[in-house]
Order: sequence, then structure tokens, then C-alpha cells
Amino acid sequence: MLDCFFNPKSVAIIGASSNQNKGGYHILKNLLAGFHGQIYPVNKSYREILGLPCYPDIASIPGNFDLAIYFIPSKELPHTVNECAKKGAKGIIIESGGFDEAGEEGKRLQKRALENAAKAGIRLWGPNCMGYVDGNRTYVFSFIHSAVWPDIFRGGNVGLIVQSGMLSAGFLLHALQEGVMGVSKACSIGNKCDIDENDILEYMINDSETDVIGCYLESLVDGRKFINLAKKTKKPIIVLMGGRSAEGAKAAQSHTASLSGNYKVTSGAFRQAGIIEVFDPAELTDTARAFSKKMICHTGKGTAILTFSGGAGTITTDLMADNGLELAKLSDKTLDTIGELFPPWNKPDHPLDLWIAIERHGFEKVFRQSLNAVIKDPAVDSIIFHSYATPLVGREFAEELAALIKKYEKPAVLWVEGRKDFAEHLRSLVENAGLPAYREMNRCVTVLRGIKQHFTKKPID
Amino acid sequence: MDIIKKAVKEGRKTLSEYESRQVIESAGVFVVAAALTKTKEEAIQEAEKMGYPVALKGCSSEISHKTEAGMVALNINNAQEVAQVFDELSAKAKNLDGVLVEKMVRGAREFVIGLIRDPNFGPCVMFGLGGIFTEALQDVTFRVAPLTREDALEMIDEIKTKKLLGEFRGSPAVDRESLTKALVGIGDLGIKYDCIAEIDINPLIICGDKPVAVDALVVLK
Repeated sequence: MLDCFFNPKSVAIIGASSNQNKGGYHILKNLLAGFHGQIYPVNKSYREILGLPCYPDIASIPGNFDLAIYFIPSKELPHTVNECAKKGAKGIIIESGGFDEAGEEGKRLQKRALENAAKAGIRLWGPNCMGYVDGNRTYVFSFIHSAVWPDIFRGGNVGLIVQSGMLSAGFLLHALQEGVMGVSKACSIGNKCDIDENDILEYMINDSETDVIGCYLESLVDGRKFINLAKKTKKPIIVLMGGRSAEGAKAAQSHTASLSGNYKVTSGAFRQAGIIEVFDPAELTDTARAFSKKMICHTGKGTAILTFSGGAGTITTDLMADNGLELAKLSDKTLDTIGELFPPWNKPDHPLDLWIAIERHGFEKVFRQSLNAVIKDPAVDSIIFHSYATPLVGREFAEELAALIKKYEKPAVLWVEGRKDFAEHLRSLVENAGLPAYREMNRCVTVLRGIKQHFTKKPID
Repeated sequence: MDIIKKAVKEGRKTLSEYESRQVIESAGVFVVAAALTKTKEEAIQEAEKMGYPVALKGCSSEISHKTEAGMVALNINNAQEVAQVFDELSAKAKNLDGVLVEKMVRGAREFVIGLIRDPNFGPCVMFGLGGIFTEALQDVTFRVAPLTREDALEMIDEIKTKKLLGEFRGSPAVDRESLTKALVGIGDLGIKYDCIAEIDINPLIICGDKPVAVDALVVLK
């Protein structure tokens, strides 16, 4: 249904520009870089932009087009919708502002445009948004500056739905820069006058290229529909909801209504639908990135902690308790196997502080043998792994760990500590091998909580 | 349900406690034994039948917060007190449907069950800590109706004061099955009757191991 947006054969850019300071230039430049269908720049001031013929108006475009990207003042929209209809367009992405968010005149324009679109069977995306990015097709249907993204752009299986305009760009850059999170589609939906989060969510649920869905939303157009969609899919859905403070409940007569105004309804509805709720953008991308690695968890048991530091093990245990995660009760057999690496005068205990063994046998041997023992323990359903960043840990080792995690279907989250350059190196090495790694302990724990919450509510068949 | 139909027809905004009790009881919520009485003699007779102590409440669909309106008298221990309180309540308000004589229920653990119609999610069920701490602590959780059994169990395990629902200071653990049934039932009311705007069951007292509604308010659209 949204194919006119996601798979157009031809795109008209209303408001294309040769002025590099204008969004209309970057929309065209971005399309030229990754979109291989027909592109029709429209602007009466130019004959040609970036080597493409530029048309003075929509009527002058030879033949039909599927999609228009609109980037001119709002007052032209109702008319433009009609012009696009004559050219067989099925969708318009409106990236300019000046509509519902801009007073009575803007509201009137948005309403008239919607009426015209409904008559012509055209779907409207936006307005007041940044369009979308398709990481796998290298489509950047957005006025985002064309110099910003090419070197960090990365395709993948995470779909993003972002309500706020500029934040979607910030989000995307952050997500991509943090490394190793590939994006299938990142959609900025703006005022959502027609296309809303439910349309995109439904599309992403059915999209074979999307395995994980992350949302930043400030309102829900139809909350009941949103959670009904979420209930029906096993794809992880992670939501950061803005504006958690109250609405409704004003004319409340009962206790219940006065207690419901504070976001608790939304939060409860999300849990009911198995949606993972997060509270800031970093947590959203952290969690989405971890899920993008497709680790599986059979929940109901505890988490094992492998560390090189007693203190770090203690803090992680505390953070786990705060987050309702249980420390696994390791079997004697597991402890004995790991104990073989320890000196005779010391025995391992959980959380597993392995430093004394590492001193004797080195990182690789101790990590390998301990992880092998822990992962086979039936009391363990997940692992938090503290890795000291040292050039001694190589790619093969990271891949070996990742393979074990996959084989036993027990997810692991890594905390990487050490000299900054070594740590960053190890982190990307581990991430590339398919395991999520973070530089802060609480991020590990929060992500693991999300994973366990998801697989408890939506177990693997 | 006839009670609801009648109230809607009369253009009323709330049901009286007596009516509200009948509505929630039909949904599977235990309610405390009570009788609506019209005369002093009737009130005494009912009180003697259920055994003291009893509570007397002035019952009217026009008074939604009875305590604030001085329409609730607790711990009444004999016929003489019943007679006296009956007269006092009758004198305070003109349009009473009657005086509700209610068996006093003992239980230190008080919860709340509610129904709201959220602008975004439609009918939603609330569960949480009730009694005088309801608003101060706001230890409540919501689910969108209709509820599955699992939804209700999740709610019960989600509140911070869930320990109160286990064995607590010599009291037995709450019968989770009854509580689950009540939560599911209230959600179903919201789905079935579009005209119900809100329901408030507070307190829901844990009596032995059974959750029993001691006060109920049904608000209509």
C-alpha cells in the first residue's frame, strides 16, 4: 500500500534548487546519489540543475510519475496535489512546514490538501518532516545535508519511525555513528496528516527487510490500533514516547480517571502489547542495535556475569536487581570447571571474577573456558560479559564467542572497559562479530532487560 | 442491564452505590453484603440479620463522593445507633434512594480497581493500591480492555506493593483467581457498555483471601 513511497519508479522534486544552501538542492543531490529511477526537478527559475532538465511546473513534466517530494511554501500544496493527480502520482512527501503547526491559515491549507488528495487517491506523508531514508536501497528522500551521510550510511534490518523532524536526522546519525546498526528504513513522519505511525508500523511488520522496529513518537493517532498491530508481530518494537506528562483526566469524577493522566495508561498498554519502552534516544538505539543482531533468548532463568573485576561484578549485580533481572544460580559443575583455572587456594563464585585466572592463563583461555561452562549451565538464560580491552583479543575470538551465543540461544551483552582506543577497537570488533557491546555497565543491563522482556512476552515458537 | 438502561434513559451521570454494586457484581466482583432500606425499622432488621458492626450510607445517584458529603457512618454496633444514624442521614439529603446497610468488612489490605475510557486506547482497566494511599502513592497500573487472564495476572504482579497480595502479617495470600476474574470482568463491562464512562471500586478490601468491593461508583457518559 505504501509502495508509491518506498518503491517509486519516478520522483518529481517540487522545489528543486541549484542553491547549495537550500534543502531543495540537497533533496535532488541525495536522490541522484542513490535513486536510479527517473528524477524530475521542478522549479520555474531553472532550466537545468545538476545536469538534469528542470521543469517550470508539474504540467510540463513529460509523462507520469509515482511520487512527488514537496519542498515549496505551504500555500501551493492544495493546488500541487491536483497537479500531481493529473500526472498519476500516488504519493507526496511534504517536507516543508507551515501547516497544522502554524496557525489557522496553515490548518486550512492542510485540510484542503487532504481533501484534494482523498479525491485523487493520493496519500500524503508529512508535512513538516524529513522524509525517509532506505539504507538498503541507498534512498535518501530528504533535505538532510548531502555531505553528512554518505560515509556512515549503512543498510540493515532496523526500521525507525520518528515523529519529530530534526530529531530523526539526529537519531539516524547517532544510530549510524555508534557503529554497526544498519537501517532498513528511517521514516520521519512529521505532522502525520495522513500517513501515520500505524501505516508505517504495519508496513514494517510486513517488510522482509525489517527485523526490528524503533519509534520516537509524541502522540498516537490511534493507540488501540497501534497496540493491536504490535500484539500480532514477533518483531521487537521499541518505543520512546515523548510528552509523558499527562493529558485528559481533566473532568475526572473518579479516582481512576485522575490517576490515569500521567502516562500510566500508555505505559501499561505498551507492556500489554509486548512493546519495549525506553526513555532516551541512546537507549532506543542501544536496544534496537542489540535486537538487530537477532540473538534469541529462552527466558525464565538467570543471567550469568563474567568479569575481570569484583567491583564491576558487584555493580552489575546491583543494576540487574534494579532492573528486575535475576543472577543465575550456577551449578557446582559449572563452578568446578571454571575452578580448574583458579589457583588451589581460591574458588570462583558468582558473579564470576576471573582476574586471578586471567593472570595465570591469559584472557582468551579463561574467557573461552568460562563462557563454555556458563553457557551450558541450564540455570543460565543470558550472559553479561565484561571484557577488558586489550589488543590481545582478536577477531577470531570474538567470532568464536558469537558462534557459541548463537548455538546455545543465550544472548550475551558485552561491557568493554580499558584504554579508549583499544576499547573502541574491541567494541567494533565484537559488534561486527554479532554481539552488542557498550562502554557503560547500565547500558548493558538495560539492553538485556529489553531482550528478556521481549522474549518473555513473545517467545520463539 | 436494566439498571444501566434506566439510568441512561433518565439522563443520569452516575449510578447510586446500590446500583453500582449490582453492576460490578454482575461482572464477577465480590461485593460486601448489603441491603437498601427505606425505613428505620427496615434498617434495624437488616442490620440484625447480617450482624454488627454495620455501616450505613446515604444512597443517591446524585452524590458520587459520599464520605465528603458526610453520607457514610461506620462501626455501628446496635439497633439504637442504627435508628439515630438513619435519621441523621435522611435529614442531610432530600433525594435519597434509601439508606444502605452494609456489613462491616475487616481487612488491613485495600486495593482499587477502576475502568476509564482513554481518549487514545478506549476502555482501560486500572489496578493498584487502594484506600487512603491511592492518590498519594499512585501505585497503579493499566491495561487496555478486553483483558486476557494473563494481562490481569501481569497487572497484579506489576504494582510496587504487590507484597501485600502475598501472605502478609498472618493474613493469607490473596486468591489471585478471584482478583483476576474481577479485573477481566470490569474490562468486559467497558467493552459491553459504551455508555459507561468510568468505574471506581475503592476500596477493594482483602477479606481473608477474598477481594471484596466495599464501595463502588459507576459514572455514565
